[in-house]
Amino acid sequence: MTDHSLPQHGLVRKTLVRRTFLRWGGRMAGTLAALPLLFRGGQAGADRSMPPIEQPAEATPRAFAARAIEMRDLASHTGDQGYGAVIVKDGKIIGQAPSRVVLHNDPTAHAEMEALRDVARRVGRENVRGAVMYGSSPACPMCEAGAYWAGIGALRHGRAAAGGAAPRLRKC
Amino acid sequence: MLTRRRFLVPAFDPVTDRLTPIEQPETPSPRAFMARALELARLGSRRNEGTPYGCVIVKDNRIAGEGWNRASVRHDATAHAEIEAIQEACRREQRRDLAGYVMYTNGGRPCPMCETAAYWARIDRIFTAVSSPDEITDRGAPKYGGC
Repeated sequence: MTDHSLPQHGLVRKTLVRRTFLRWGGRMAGTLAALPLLFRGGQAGADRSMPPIEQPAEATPRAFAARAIEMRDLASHTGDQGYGAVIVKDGKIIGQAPSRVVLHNDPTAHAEMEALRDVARRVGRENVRGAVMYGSSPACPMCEAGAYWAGIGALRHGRAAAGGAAPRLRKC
Repeated sequence: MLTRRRFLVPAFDPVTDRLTPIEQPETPSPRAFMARALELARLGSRRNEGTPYGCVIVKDNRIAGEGWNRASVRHDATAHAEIEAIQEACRREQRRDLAGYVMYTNGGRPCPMCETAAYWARIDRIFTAVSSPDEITDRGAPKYGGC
């Protein structure tokens, strides 16, 4: 004697369980996919209240170097040391700063370091791999090591955007 | 008032619009200052603010500035403990020339960025300890570029 009700019942139950699992699984997957959008809104820690950086008309090394010189002039106009820096990634300026050593009374506030901090606030990422740093002058060891820690790919300086070597942590 | 002994609070308190006072050790000694640097390293990394590094800037047996690595929480690769401590000391003392101040930090030797920052700030000497406040190494005056 065979009882077909049990396996049938089991099959129905299994199907129900599977359907429920699929439904809930789908919901869970949707929720998990939406989590980054809900809590991060794009990039974690990026400060969206900051006014956007005005981009140069054409994205050339000369134009970025010219912006670094503009930052240097801004620094010297505000009575600070005459240095400026710009950080560029994918043809866009993602951070720029004049030197603020005198203004902020901070010996570490060189233009390059302030530009790295500007990127940290705007982009909200510790590492900006493949970015290029344009300085009005060659970087000091502090700024070069800072660029190294931030993952900057190349350093350029001056109006002609000379250089192009990757920053080194230690020069000896 | 929140003390900084057990809780890491930012130097600037937005509620009182003032700098939070630094709690000084009961018996000021190189050992106590280095113990504080190691404690900051431990507390900071326990809160996932960055790698386990802490730093204390001292003058006349008094802590002038404290810092710990906040690279993760700030998303800022330059927020090393030594840089944070130099910035805080300069903000508190309202000067950017830290001649006459010494630095206590953990680890083998500050990275070239931090050592050059100490050079620019004209810090007198750097003392380091790896894990124990009893084994302090005198690294001398900071060198330009760490060389």
